[in-house]
Amino acid sequence: MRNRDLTTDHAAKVSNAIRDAVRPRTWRRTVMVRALAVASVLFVVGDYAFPADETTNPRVTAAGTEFGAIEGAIAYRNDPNHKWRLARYYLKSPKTGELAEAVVALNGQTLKRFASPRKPTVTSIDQKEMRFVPETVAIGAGDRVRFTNSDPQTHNISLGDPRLRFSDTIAPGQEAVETFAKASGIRHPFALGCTFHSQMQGWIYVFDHPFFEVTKSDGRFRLEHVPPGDYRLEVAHAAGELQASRAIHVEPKTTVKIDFILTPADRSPAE
Amino acid sequence: MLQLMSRNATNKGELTRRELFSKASASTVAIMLSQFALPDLVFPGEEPNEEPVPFLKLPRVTRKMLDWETLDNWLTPQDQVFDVHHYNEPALDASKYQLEISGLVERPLTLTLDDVHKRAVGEELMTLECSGNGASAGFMGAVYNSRWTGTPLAPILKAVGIKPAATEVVFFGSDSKVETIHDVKVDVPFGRSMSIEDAMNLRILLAYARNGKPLERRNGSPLRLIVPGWYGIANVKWLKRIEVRNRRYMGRFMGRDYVTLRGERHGNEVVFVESSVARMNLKSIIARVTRRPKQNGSIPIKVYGAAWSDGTEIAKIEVQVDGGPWQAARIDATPRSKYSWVFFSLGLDGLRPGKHVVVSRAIDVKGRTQPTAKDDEIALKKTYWEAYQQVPREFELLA
Repeated sequence: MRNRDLTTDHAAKVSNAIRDAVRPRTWRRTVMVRALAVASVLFVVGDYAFPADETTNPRVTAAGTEFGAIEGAIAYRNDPNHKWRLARYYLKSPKTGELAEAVVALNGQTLKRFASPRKPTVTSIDQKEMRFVPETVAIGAGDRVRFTNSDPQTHNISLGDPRLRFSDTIAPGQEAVETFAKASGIRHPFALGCTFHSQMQGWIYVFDHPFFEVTKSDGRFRLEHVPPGDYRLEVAHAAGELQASRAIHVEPKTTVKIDFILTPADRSPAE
Repeated sequence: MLQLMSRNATNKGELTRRELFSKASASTVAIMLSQFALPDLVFPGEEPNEEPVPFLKLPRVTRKMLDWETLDNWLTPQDQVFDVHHYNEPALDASKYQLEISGLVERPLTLTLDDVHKRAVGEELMTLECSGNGASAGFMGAVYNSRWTGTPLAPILKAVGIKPAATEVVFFGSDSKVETIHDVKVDVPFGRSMSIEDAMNLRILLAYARNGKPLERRNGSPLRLIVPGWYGIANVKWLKRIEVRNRRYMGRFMGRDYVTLRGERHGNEVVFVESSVARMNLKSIIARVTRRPKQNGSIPIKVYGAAWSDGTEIAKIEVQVDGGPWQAARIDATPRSKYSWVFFSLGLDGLRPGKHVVVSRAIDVKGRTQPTAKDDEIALKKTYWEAYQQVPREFELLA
């Protein structure tokens, strides 16, 4: 739930407590007022002491019943004339086509409100057998990524993006941590590479709101606590160079069901 | 020294004006390039109901590496071509480019790129492998086959006149780095060398195009060395200077890295010897396994693969299943070229559902056999370069 709404509720609670306090004090009321004061402080402090876990969706709130949700599945349908050579790593089966490691994200102006401060999470990306593992991650603006090296070789992760530059030489067993302060959006993720091993590839998607997910092998996704409104739901698969987008409308207390079937026609090579 | 090519895999339309111009002005020998279309499936006999069976426990294939399991092209497409550089990756201005040939020569020479393109055109079909290929499960696709176009080196060396005192030719690249050598910091260029004899006899090409297209920066544009039959490290990119010398060149990539340390048995002793990486070793690998529907309780499979060497002809390729007897595979009669890989295939019957291991080995006309990881040749090798041992492939047949 958003901190601002909590604070508003909290302010109401405190002012009620003060009003109660003005009435003739009894021992019982004194205890209640003091307990309320402590509880209200804990309630707000707790937001920082016990931050949201590393999932991407916001925490449930007592007053969160006016939100909607979006869920569905992403699939890929092949075309023998335009084969995706490496599809075998991402499709559950060529026949059913459930697409793993697709990034699903909402896009909409009002979503920027949800870029409120929270304790940054740390996501790990390992370098193993000359691969970035996982290959695709999606995080929030301000989050950090810890790069570890499980290989016997030294790697150098460099990002020469105008939005963010770094060059980390990481010996075997060592690590480096980088902060991704700015959102990338779904169309232009940060592309990872190793200076020494040109085959290494990875992508980091950064969003300034919490409504995103990376699909697993079943291709499914679910975005929760979505404020009602009009948005675009966007899908991208970096390794497959696929992009798609659909307009959606979210109603309170309703789950929008939406599936995507991507084809080679959705190919859009990354920059 | 020019190769008369009877076939290529690209359209004539892809030849640049430069190439056509240089052909027109080549005085002595003409290149015959006739077109032919490679079949869709490079392995003839692959049938529609053959289903690929993925290998187990392999890291993902990513970009800029050969994807063995979908191998379908004798000439490797550019997007599956690997590249390695140890220093920087220079971006050279073609209009300002100069190649210097100097040192112990009678008539030192400087060639612009135009000069190089105006010289006689030569082509070489060659499989180029990184000497680190195969050293780890994550680095198995650093090999590719190409049609290289350029101008032969030998006539240039003859023209400049090598002095009698000379013993070596050193090839310097435009890439360089500040290295610390014996506690001294110096800016050194990338370099590799070879004997005069090798430089004159190995059909070396100063190459400017791959598969009919100009070299990419990552592969050494605008000019690189192509040494047929030698590992990638010898194929110097971003060529800057060819220097003839009378002392052994002992640069990092001759004497310190790309040096194989191997124990060799002499009577009762094992003597450890270091030698510079040069010629490619005889090697074969199974690219993929396919299956067809089960018949009478057993599943027919087919094994496809590739084999290559330093140019020594490959006599036989054999395949072994689950430690059983070695069976001779069928080697494709075409396409063939001395320095390029050959493709092979073998149908195998009688496999039951479950896990299996297949492995191939190549044997050349001189009787050399590709070793296993346990043979001395590999087991006593203490450095990772030159990993040419047999490659077991594990797969699972579901019912």
